[in-house]
Amino acid sequence: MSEVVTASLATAEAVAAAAASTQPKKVVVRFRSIGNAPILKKSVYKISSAQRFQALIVFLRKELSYKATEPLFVYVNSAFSPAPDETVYNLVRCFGLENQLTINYATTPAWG
Amino acid sequence: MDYREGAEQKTPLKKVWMGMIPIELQLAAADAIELLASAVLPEPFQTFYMLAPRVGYLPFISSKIRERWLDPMLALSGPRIPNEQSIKEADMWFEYKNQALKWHYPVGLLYDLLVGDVHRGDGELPWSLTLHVRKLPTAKIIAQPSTTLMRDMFMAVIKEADFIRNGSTKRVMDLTKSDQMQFLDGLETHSYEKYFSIHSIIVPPTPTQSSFAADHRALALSASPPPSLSAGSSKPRGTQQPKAIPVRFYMQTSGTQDDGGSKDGGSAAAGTANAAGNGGSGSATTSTAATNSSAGGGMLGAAKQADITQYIVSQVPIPLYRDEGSGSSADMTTVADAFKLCYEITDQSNDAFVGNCVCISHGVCVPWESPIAWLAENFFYADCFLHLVVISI
Repeated sequence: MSEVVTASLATAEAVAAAAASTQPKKVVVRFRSIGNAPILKKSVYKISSAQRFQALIVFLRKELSYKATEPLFVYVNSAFSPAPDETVYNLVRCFGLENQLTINYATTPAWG
Repeated sequence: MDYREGAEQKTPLKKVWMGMIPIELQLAAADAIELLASAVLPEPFQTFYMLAPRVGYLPFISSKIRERWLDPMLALSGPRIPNEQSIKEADMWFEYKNQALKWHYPVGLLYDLLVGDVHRGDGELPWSLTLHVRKLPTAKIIAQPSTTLMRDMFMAVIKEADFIRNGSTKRVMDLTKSDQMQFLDGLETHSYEKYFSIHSIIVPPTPTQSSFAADHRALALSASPPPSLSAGSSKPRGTQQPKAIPVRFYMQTSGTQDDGGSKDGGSAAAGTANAAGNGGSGSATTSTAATNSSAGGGMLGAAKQADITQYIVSQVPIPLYRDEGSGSSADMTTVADAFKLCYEITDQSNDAFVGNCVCISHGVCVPWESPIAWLAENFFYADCFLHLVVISI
């Protein structure tokens, strides 16, 4: 949603434009390891809010130098795993605190 | 289906749950050639018809399709590769007009998003889909659409909904193993009794429910606006009142959104989120390159044909009342209010969208002035979310 989306809806064009402009471009993501998952050198990152959750997982795997086949379980707020296609912006608005999202990760399932 | 008279039979809740979509399936030609020894499909197997529950998910119907259509077809025709006697459900995926269907979306939602003229009550029936058993497009949809992964992802969404509703996932986490199995079995087998006996534990009836009971009949699946709640119906402020309602809007735009699918392309293996961990074998799926060829076809009709990437999905916790302190029915959050919250329309007078757009849920136009509280009791999908599709008219 980085670029303004032209909407076919007579008013939704305004809606979409407004939504795009009010969105904070960056949100703060705080990574916390659980159990024996390795700790990141740097645990707080700013990322674009238009990203999908999937991108966040990819990023985390890269930082941990984890291969795709190695198990990694990623949660929001020590509670649940969002679908990979949910946007970070929606997650922050629903589950963030002051524009900050807490991500927990583990090598074994932690919360079901 | 049972049409006997009875109070329960008539509730919108049950009508929504029982909603079905007739589906007409063709096997993708290229896949049939690869799969079968014979060049043409054997006679009774060219097309497959079935009813799919709106609240259900595609991976749950895959096993039926395999058992009743693909396996007998394969047995009759003989497989091209001698030792391939059966098709893996995790390889099965569905396509509608050159788009791979996101299998982790409820079936009814996919239909409302992609089929035109639903709001006129004139959607495509039966819904004509193409079944693929090769080359899962993992850049566009999540890999390994198995029932196991679907069950896991479903429990994750239920927790997400619980978190929005109550601020924690305690209600779902406190379910016993057998309750959880019953809940999932109820979903998978489309059993109203099994599902709702557990649903009532996760989402206990709220005080608002009784006050809406009288409106059930009048509102039942009609497009008429809900009767304004009488002043006398102010309800007791119960302790069961949820903090917020899990609502997801899908707003159609004419532009093609920069979807994660293309942006994150190449991340296919990681795209399964926790799936790689859960999958056991976790083997990376086959190449995804072949699917790109269909992308061009999808773009051609973009102006008329609904495309999944045209939708801006927005989700915020929706409070039951506009003003938190208020408990009066006049202050109940409406669908229009929720839409404004989701898309951050701060201009309170900007209500033009009410006349220009319709809001669809379960194939029905939902009046903009419907209270979210009523919808939350009656129009939720199995994942406890309200999925509301907004399109221009």
